Amino acid sequence: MDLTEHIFMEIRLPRAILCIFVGASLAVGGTLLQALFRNPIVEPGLIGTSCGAAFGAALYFALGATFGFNVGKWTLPLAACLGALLSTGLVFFLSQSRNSGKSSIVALLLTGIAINALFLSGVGFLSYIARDPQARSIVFWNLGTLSGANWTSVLIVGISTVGTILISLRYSKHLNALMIGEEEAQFLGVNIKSLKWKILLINVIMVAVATAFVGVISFVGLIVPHLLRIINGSDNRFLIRNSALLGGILLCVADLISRMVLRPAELPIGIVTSVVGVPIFIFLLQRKNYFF
Amino acid sequence: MIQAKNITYKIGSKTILKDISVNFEAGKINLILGPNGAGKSTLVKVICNQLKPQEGTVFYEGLSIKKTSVAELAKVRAVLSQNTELAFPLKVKEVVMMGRYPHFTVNPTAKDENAIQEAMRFFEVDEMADRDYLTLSGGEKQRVHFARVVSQIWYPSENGCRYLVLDEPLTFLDVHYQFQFMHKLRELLKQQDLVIVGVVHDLNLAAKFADHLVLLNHGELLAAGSKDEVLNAENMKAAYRLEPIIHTDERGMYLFFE
Repeated sequence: MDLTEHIFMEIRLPRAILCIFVGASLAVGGTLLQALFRNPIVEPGLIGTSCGAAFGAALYFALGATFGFNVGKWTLPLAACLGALLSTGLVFFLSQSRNSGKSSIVALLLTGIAINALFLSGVGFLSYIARDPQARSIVFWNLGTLSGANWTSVLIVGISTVGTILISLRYSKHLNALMIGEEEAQFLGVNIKSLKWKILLINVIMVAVATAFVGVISFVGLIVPHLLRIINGSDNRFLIRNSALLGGILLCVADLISRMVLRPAELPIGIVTSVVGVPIFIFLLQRKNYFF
Repeated sequence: MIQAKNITYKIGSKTILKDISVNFEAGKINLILGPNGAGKSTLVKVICNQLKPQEGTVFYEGLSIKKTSVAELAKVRAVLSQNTELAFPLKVKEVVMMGRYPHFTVNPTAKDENAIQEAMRFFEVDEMADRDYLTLSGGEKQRVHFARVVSQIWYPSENGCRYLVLDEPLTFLDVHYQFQFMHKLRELLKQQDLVIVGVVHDLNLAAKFADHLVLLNHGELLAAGSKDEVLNAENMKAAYRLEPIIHTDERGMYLFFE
C-alpha cells in the first residue's frame, strides 16, 4: 500500500463514514426529541444528554488516571455514555410529578436547564483542576472533533446509528399521533408512558455513543428537522428517514469546512456547526409562514 | 352500549363524581349536561379510561374497560377532546389520517385512504386536504377533527358496537355549523351499531337533537332520560340556579332564562 492509499483508507475514509453516522445520529436524535416533547426547540443538548456525556468525558480526562479507571479504547465512550445516562436519567427522575407520575414538558425542560447548568459547571470545575494537557483535551472534546476517526469508532457508531434509527422508524406513527396531544394519542391507541421511555432510551444511546467519539456537536439536531419540515411538513415517517440522510450530508460539509478554513490546522467542527447553525436557526424563527 | 356503574371519582378529599350510574345506548344521541364544574368532562374521561375511578367500573358491551387494552379500544372508540392543538405544521389529510393509526402498522392501506376521503367529504373539508392545518380557522380545525375521529370508526367493527365520544364538540362553531354537525350525527346514526356520547352546553340544541339526556350537578346525577324528564323547570332551577321559561310548540321545546 503506498502512502496516498494508506492515508485514504486509514484517515480520510473512516472520517467521512464516521461523519455520516454521527450526523445521522444527532439529527434523528433531535427529530425524536422534538416529536416526543411536541416542541420544535428541543434537541439532545436540552435534556441533559450532551452535557452529561461531556461531563463523563471530562471526568475521564481529568481524573481517569488518578482513579485507575481504564478499559482501553473503550474508556472514553463508556465514560461519556454513563455520564449521559446519569444526567438524562436525573432530568427524568426529577421532573416526574409526585402525584401522577407524569412529567409535564415544561417541568422536563426546566429541569433540563438546571441539570445542564450543574453538569456544565462540573465540566468547568474539572478543567480548572486538570493539568494543562488534560484541560486542553477537555476543551477540544467539548468543541467537537472528528480527527480521531478510525475503523473501530466507525464500527461502533455505525452499529448504534443503524440499529437505533431502524427501531425509531417503527415508532414514527406513534410520534405523529403525539403531535395532537398526549391524551389524543392515547385515544388513538398509543401507550404514552412506554413510548416516552423507549424514545428517550433510543435517544440517549444514539446521542451518547456518537458524542463519545467526536465530542459535543450542537445544532445539528435542531437545524436538520427544521429544514425538513419546511420542505415537506412534519410527518415523522418522512422526517426520521430524511433526518438521517440530511444530518449525514450536513455534517460532512461542516467537517469539510472545518478542515479547509485554517489549513493546515483544523477548526473544531462544533464551532463550525454553531457558527452556521445559529443564524439559520434565528432566520427560521423569524420566517412568517413558519409558526407554531 | 356503554354502561358506567357506581362511578365515584375523587381528587384528594374532594369528590368530583359521586356514585354515578348511567347507560348510553346504540343508535341514540346521548348528551351529558350540567353547569360548570358539575363533573361532565371528568365523567367523559372516566368513560374513555383516561381517569381511573376509585370506585365503580365502565363496561363496553358488558366487557369491563379494565380488561381492554388502549390499542384494542382505539379500534372501535374515537374521542374528540376539548382544545386539541397541533404542535407542528401538518397537512389536513395527514391530521385526518391519524384517525386510521389504530388500524394499520406502518403504511396506510387503500381501505384507510378510502375512509379518510369519505370522512373528509362527509364533513366538507375535502377541498382543504392539502392545506396546512395551522393556517385554518377555529371552525375549520374543528371540522377536520370531526373527520379524524369519524374516520377512526368509519367501518363497522367485527364484534360489537362502535363508539364516538365528543367533549364539547360545538365550542368553535357558529350556529350554522352547530346545526350542521348535529344533523350529521343524526345521519351517522343510521348505522345502528354506533353509540354517540357528547357533552354540550347549549340546552336548546340538546332539546332539539338529543335522544337521551344525562344531567349532572355537583358531581351527582340529577336526572337522566328523555328531554321531558330532564329539561323540566325543577331540574333547570336546581342545576343552573335560574328561573327557566319552557316553551313547547309543534316545532319542539325551547328554554329561556331570566
